[in-house]
Amino acid sequence: MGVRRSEFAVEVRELSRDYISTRRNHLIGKKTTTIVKALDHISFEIQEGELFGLLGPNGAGKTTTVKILCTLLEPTGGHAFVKGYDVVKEAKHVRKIVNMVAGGERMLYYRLTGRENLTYFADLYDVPRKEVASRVNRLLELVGLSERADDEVEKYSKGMKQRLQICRGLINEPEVLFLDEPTLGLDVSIAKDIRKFIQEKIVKEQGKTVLLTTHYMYEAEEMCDRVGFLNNGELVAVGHSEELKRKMPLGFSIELLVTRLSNETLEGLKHLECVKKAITTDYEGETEDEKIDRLVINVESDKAVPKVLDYMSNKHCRVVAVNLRGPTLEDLFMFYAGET
Amino acid sequence: MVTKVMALHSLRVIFAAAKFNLIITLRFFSGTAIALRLFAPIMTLGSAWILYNHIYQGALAPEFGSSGYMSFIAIGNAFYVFVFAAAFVVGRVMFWERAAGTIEATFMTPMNRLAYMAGIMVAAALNSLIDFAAVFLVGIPFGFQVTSPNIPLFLSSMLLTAFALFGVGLIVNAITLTFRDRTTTANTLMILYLVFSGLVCPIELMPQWAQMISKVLPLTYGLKIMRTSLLGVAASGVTYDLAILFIMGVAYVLIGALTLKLIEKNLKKKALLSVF
Ligand SMILES: Nc1ncnc2c1ncn2[C@@H]1O[C@H](COP(=O)(O)OP(=O)(O)OP(=O)(O)O)[C@@H](O)[C@H]1O
Ligand SMILES: [Mg+2]
Repeated sequence: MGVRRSEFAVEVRELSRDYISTRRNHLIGKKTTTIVKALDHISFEIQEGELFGLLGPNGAGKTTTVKILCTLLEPTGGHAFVKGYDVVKEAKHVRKIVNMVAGGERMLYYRLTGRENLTYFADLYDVPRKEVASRVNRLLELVGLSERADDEVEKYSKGMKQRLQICRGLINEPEVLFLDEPTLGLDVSIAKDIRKFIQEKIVKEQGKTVLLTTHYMYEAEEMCDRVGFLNNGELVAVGHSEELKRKMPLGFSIELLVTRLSNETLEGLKHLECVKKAITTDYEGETEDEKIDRLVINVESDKAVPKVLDYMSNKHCRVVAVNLRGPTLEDLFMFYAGET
Repeated sequence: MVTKVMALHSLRVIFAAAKFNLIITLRFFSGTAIALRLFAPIMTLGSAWILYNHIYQGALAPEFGSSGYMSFIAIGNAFYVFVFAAAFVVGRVMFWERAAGTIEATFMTPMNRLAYMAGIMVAAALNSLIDFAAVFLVGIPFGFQVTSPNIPLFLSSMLLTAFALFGVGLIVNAITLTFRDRTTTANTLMILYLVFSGLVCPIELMPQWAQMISKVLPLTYGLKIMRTSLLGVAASGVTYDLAILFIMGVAYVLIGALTLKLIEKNLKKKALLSVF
C-alpha cells in the first residue's frame, strides 16, 4: 500500500461503478433489482498541470467519475489514483489534496454567512490559522462577494451561492480540483471571470490540475487542453480537442467568397476527390464591379484547402475571402453522443 | 510529530464544529423560542404536581427519597434534555446534513469524523443547558429544592452522562442514516429512556425485567449520581455507579466510533451520500 506512485496527477484504470437499485411496485409486492452500469471499465490519465474536460450527455457517468475521485463514492471495480494515492485505500491523504465544486445549491451551510462557511471549512481542512482570514478575503474578493460576505447564505441568489461554492472548493488550495459543472447558473461576466481565474491563476500560474465537466461546449473549447467523451459509462474518445476534431469523419467546411465563378467551374469542383459537397449561395455585395458568389464546400480534412484554392485559381476565379470552419466541440459532442 | 499534528487538528475540528453548530442553532433564537422552551418543563412539572398533590394526595413510596416527589421529577426532567441532545441532535446530524446537501462537503475534508461528531455533541450539550436550567427554574415554584449540593459530583454526573450519551448518539446516527428514518429511532430511544431510566419512577419500584433494561442505559446511573449530588446524600453511595457510568461511556463511544467508520464506508459503497 502506498508504494505505487504514479507520474500522473490523476490516473484511472479500468474504473467501474454499478448502481444497484431495488424497487417494489407495491408496498408488499415483489422486489425487482436493476443494475445501472454508470461506469464500465474506463481508463484515462490527466497530466500534472493540465486542464482536462470530461464531456458527455446527461447520465453519461461524469459526476460518478468525479465523486469516486474525490472519495465520495466507492468504485465497484478498477482503481483510481490522485497524485499516486489510491482513492479508496489512501482516501484520507487524497482528501487533503483535492477539492470539488458541483453545480447546484448544495454543499453550503445556509444558516451561516459566506465568511463563516469558508472559515468553517478552513478549520476542517486545517488551513494554517494565520492564513485563514486573508485567504477567505481573497477568495471572496475573487468572486465578487466581499460586500455580501456577512449575509447568511440563505439570503444569497443562486449565482452567489455558486460563487461561494467555488471559494469553498479553493479554500484548501487543492493540488487537483474537480469542477462538476461549476458555472451552472452564473451570469455571463462572472462565469467568464471564473473561467479566466481557473485557467490563468490555478492552472497556468500555480500549476494545479483541474478536471472539468460541463455542458457548455464553448467553455470546454476555451478552457481544456484535453478532453474525454463519456457515453453510457464508456470513454469513447480521449485526446487533444484539435486532434479529435482532425480525426473526425464529419469533416470541415470551407467557405469561399469568389468572383467569376462559372457553372462549369462549380461542377468541376464537385468532382474533385477531396470534395464531398459544394453549394453556392448569393452574396450581397460586389467588388470592382464584379459579382461575388459565396461557396460552401464540405471536405474531409483541412488538407483539402490548398487543393481547392489551386483549382479555383486554375479556373481563373478570384478568391476574395476564405473561412475554414472545422468541426467544433459541439459537432464532436453530437457525434460521440450518438455512439453507443 | 504526525500524531501531534493530527491531535491538534482534531481539537480544532471539535472546536469549529461546536462553534459553528451553536451559531447555526442559535442564530434565529428569539424571545418566542425561549418561551417555547419553557413550555415543556412547565407542562411536565405542572402535571406531575397535580398528580402528586391532588390525585395521590401527597402519598409517596419511600424509594423516591426524602426530598419529595417534585425534586425527583425535576431532576429526571432536566436530565431528559441531555438525552434529547444525544438522540435528536447527534443521532440525526448526518441525516440532516445529507438532506441539506452539506454531508458531501464535510466528508470530502480530511477531518477526523469522531472529532466532528464530538463537536456537534458539545454544541448540543451547551445548547441543552438552557433547557436544563429552565427545568430547575420552573421547578422551584413547584417545590423543587436542593439540599447541600455536591458540586463536583454534580458536574461529573453531567459530564459522564453526556459522554456516554454521545456514544449512544453515534449509534443512533448510524441507524437513522442506514434506515433513512428521520424520527422513529430517536423517538424510540427517548421513550426507552423515559420509561426505563428512572426518570419518573424509581428503578426499585419497577418490575424485574424492566430493571434489567435500565441497567444498560447510562442515564440510569447518571440520574442516580445527580440525585445524590443535589439531595444531600453521601457521595460514597455512588462510587460504583460512577465507575459503571464511565466504563459504559467508554464502551458506547468505542462502539459508536466503529459504527461511524462503518456507516461512512457503507454510504460510499451503496451511493447513499446524496439521497434524502
Ligand atoms: N445514486 C444513484 N443510484 C442509482 N443510479 C444512479 C445514482 N447516481 C447516478 N446514477 C445513474 O448513473 C448514471 C450516471 O450518472 P451520472 O450522475 O454520473 O451522470 P452525469 O454524466 O453526471 O450526468 P449529468 O450530465 O446529467 O450530470 C445515470 O444513468 C444515473 O441514472
Ligand atoms: Mg453530473
